[in-house]
Amino acid sequence: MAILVTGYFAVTRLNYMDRSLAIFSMGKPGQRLDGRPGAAFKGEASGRNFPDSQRQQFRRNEGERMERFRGDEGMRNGEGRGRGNYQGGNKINLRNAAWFTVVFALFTVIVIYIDKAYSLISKRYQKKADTGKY
Amino acid sequence: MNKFKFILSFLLTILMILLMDPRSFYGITFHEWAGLVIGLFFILHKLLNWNWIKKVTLTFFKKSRGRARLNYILDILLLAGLTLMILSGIAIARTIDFTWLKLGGSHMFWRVMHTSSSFITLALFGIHLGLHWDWVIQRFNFKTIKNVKEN
Repeated sequence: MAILVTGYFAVTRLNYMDRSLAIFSMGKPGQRLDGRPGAAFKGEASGRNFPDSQRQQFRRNEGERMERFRGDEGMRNGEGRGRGNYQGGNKINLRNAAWFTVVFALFTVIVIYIDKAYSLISKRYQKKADTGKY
Repeated sequence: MNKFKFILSFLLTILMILLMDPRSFYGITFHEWAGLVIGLFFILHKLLNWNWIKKVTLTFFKKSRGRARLNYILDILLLAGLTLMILSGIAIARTIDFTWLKLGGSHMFWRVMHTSSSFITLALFGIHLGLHWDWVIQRFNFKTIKNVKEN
């Protein structure tokens, strides 16, 4: 029960479902490209309506930003803009790993109980079928 | 052999969890190299169970049990997930140069693919462990069963 409750909390905290399914909703309107659900552009995020010309400007800016990000040749081997390594990259911080362990355990526990329930039900059916025969 | 399989599976699980967050364990360099190692571990894991794979492949549409079929489908999904995970990881790698592979596609596409496939694969790993839980329990009770038999 503790695993189920902590697991549910971990799934919510890590935004697990949305990030898992992000690939299927890529390119759909209202989805950000980084895998998190949300508005595609700044104006839509705040609920304001921008004219088409301004929307096109946002799209252009977004495109340029993506191009800059793609041109990451200088980022190989940790060079360039200093983004080759994550901040605190040479340290051990297992807090997020612990949350992922909980999610992993959640799926395992759910399957174990479903499997046990299925075995129990099929055994009962088998027993009933056997007693019905004789 | 079972002990080796168990240790390998255990290492696979630990490595997979450590790989879920690139910041959590020695940064991106470890993340990328360990990502490649997990692929090798997975192949080794499948090679150790090759007889089962061969048996179920040959009898999948004939006389395989429902559970074996379920495990087989899950294994195929795991293989697909891990392949996508490694492929997208290669496409967005920063410390290892894989540009010579010329995978194409936008960086964002591969990044979202990497996150999604790893999250889905972790869930599939959890389900896989759940379906093999009895086997895991047997490994822990191995000595006890042996001792009882000897007595």
